[in-house]
This record gives sequence, C-alpha cells and structure tokens, in this order.
Amino acid sequence: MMRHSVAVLLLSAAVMGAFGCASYSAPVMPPRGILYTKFRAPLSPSLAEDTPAGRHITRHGKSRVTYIWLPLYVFDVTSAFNDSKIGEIALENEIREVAYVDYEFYNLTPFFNRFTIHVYGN
Amino acid sequence: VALSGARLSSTVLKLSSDFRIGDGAAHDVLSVNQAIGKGRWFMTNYWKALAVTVLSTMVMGCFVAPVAPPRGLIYTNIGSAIDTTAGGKPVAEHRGTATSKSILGLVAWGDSGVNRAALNGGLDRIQQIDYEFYNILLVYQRMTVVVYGDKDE
Repeated sequence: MMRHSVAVLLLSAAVMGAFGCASYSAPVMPPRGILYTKFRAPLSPSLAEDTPAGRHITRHGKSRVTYIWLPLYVFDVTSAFNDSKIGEIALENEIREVAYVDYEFYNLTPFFNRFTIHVYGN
Repeated sequence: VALSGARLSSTVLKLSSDFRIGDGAAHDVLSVNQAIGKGRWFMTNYWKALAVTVLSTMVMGCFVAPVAPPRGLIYTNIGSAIDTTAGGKPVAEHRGTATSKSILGLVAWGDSGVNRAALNGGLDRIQQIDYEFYNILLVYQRMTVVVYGDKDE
C-alpha cells in the first residue's frame, strides 16, 4: 500500500512537471491552464525611477523558446529550441535603453509550450 | 501514455523476473503473471495519479509572485508587491491595470504584462508594480498587475 502510494505520488510529480508547472520559472507566474494557456506577465519586477512607458516606448523586440513533448512507446522525447536572452533581443532590435521586460507563456495541452520574452525600450 | 506506461512497467518487472537469487531455480523476483498484474495495477492507478495531479494543479494554481501572502482555498482576494525596490521613488498619481484569468486550472488567458497595464492607464512613466490575486473555490482565479506612474501634461 505504501509502495503504491509512493508510486502514485512520483507519477503525479512527473506528470505535473510535464504539464508545465515545472517547465519554466519566472518572478511572476499567473495561474495556468493544463489544456490551454496564453498570458503575459512582468519579467522585470524591479523598475528604475521614472521608467518610460506608453508613447515613450519606441522599440519592442521579442524572442521565443519552443518546447515539444512527444510521449512514445517507452521513451518520451522532449525538445526545446531557440533562445530568449534579453541582451540579444535588445541588440537585434537596436534597443539602446531597456525600460521593462514582459513574457508570454503559451501552451496547448502539455505537449506544446512556447515561452516568449518581450523587451520594451527606446 | 497509459498504455505505454503499463507496458513499460510490465517490461521492467519481466526483466526483474530473470534475476535469480541463490540457486536461482525457485527464487524469481516476480513471475510473468505477477508482472502482468502489476501492469494492470499501474494502468488502474494511472487515472488516480492523473486525478491527483489535476487536483494538485488546481489547488496550487501554480501561481508565483515575489511577495506572496497566505492564500485561501475557498476564497482569496489579496494584493501585494511585485516591485520591492520602493525606497526613494516618487509617489505616483495614476495607475493602470492588466488582468489574466484561469478557469478550473484547465484554461488560462489574458495579458497582465507591464506594457499592457501602462497602456491601459495611459501612463508615460511608471514607478511601481503591485498585483492583486483573486480566487473563488479554485474554480475562478484572476491575477491583476497594477502599475503606478504619471502622465505627461
């Protein structure tokens, strides 16, 4: 009985991890959905004084990481590709001063996740 | 997934049945029939495990913030800080909000980013970020990001 309970708990933890609860981390994570999630949230929780916003934001850059999970016969295949480095995004989009950073998390079932970083500046 | 899990379980246990102790003849760790039984157990309990997972996900909500006051399972309506570097900043006169929502821990949507909140409030400079979290019976959860700032004259 004890062994069965431990097995169930371990499987639960594994499935929960695969469902996305352990698939990424961020300072602010709104509640997510197992079947479908698409939200944006702050990634830079510390603002400088008088951080420009609204019409003072003249540049926006983004980059995304895609995660795919293929459960096969015995082995599961997971892959994650691309990168989402803030410095690279700023360089590629000619952002001289980064004001703040948001991120977007998208998942459609546990099998497909996408994590996008949005960099705002001027 | 359940099928492959059951087969995996059976395969592992069948392999262990070939591992003999002592003289080996009568000391199989598990017979094939026992292994198949274990496989059936695994399949039956897979759904229990899935139920535990879904329930845990709903209960925990997977909600994370830099400052998180205690939350209630039945009802929560709290506000707290995202930006904890408050020292020396001017007090802002305007605010903007942006919200994301979740239903039953199954679907979630919304734009609760700083950019959307600043645009919604028509802010030109922002000083501070807070958030509000609302939960009713784990059925409906809502997180609102609140930014405080000023508008150009």
